[in-house]
Amino acid sequence: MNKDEDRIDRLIQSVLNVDPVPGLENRIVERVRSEARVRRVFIRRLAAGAGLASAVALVVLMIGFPQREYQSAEPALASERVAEPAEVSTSVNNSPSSSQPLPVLSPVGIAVGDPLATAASSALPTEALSPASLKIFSLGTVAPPLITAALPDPNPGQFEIPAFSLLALNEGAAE
Amino acid sequence: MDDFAQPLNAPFVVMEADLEREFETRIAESSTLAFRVAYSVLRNREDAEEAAQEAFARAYRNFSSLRDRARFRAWLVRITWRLAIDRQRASKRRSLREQIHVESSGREPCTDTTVSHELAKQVWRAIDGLPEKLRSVTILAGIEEYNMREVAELLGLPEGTVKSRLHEARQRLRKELQ
Repeated sequence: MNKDEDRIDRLIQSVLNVDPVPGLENRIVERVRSEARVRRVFIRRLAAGAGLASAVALVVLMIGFPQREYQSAEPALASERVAEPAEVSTSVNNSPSSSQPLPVLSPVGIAVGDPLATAASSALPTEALSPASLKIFSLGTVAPPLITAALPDPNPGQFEIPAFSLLALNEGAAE
Repeated sequence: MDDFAQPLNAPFVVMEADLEREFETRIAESSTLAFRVAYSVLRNREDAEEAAQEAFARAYRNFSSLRDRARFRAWLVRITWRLAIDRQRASKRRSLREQIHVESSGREPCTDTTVSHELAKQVWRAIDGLPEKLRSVTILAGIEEYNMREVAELLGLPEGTVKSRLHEARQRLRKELQ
């Protein structure tokens, strides 16, 4: 290193080696500590907020759960209501106390005009299409038990309207 | 609310306390370096001190994300440098007014008393005329008393590159100052 370079280095050092005002370190420490305090408060509030949000979410879930259960139970109840007449008809068909033979559903299908069903009905015995058996059939299928309970029949054992309607259907089909 | 949250974030607080202690040792090691780097850009003690404080505050905020703690000084130098340049750009007019005020008041707080004020101005002008890569090497070499290895670490450059850049900077400065 020559004299010129040495001189330049000394000049640069002399303009750069400026000492800070005494206590800079303490001031920086203070500044960082205040920064840390702010940070700590932020973390605490964040944690508290997260805890609160979790608690609220839990409460909402707990309150909302029975409602959901109720809502999900609704369709099941509806299907049960729909299924009721079928169950009744099944119970009537399988009832051991019933002494008379119960008709099958195929004669009702004749009214639709299905050619295959028409052909099948012609092969059926005449007792299957008798008014008496149709009456019993209508007792089990047409009149739902709820309506029966709500409107007590003035003439027990006679269900004329369903029987006639089915008769008419069967007669029309027979023709 | 804070009292309620205390048990929830106790591990965070412990971690923060450890971080704080470690960081305070870093402050003791590097506060003068940060101040001088800021001063080399701003040429004003108050601004340099504010920049140094801000640089440490920013470093503290991101200290946990610094993987290689051994490179803290280099990292701090870069933060301080950028902050000082931003501050200089933002308050160029204000700094100029302060400098004029200091000059007119006859005080000379920024430079060593062994160098005359006029000569110091010449040196700064010559340093400011250097390209960025030569200026940073020159300033850090001056701050670190020409410890090439230290300067190379601070800049993340090979020592040979630092030496060659410093040689070129000296030649340019010599021409300027003759």
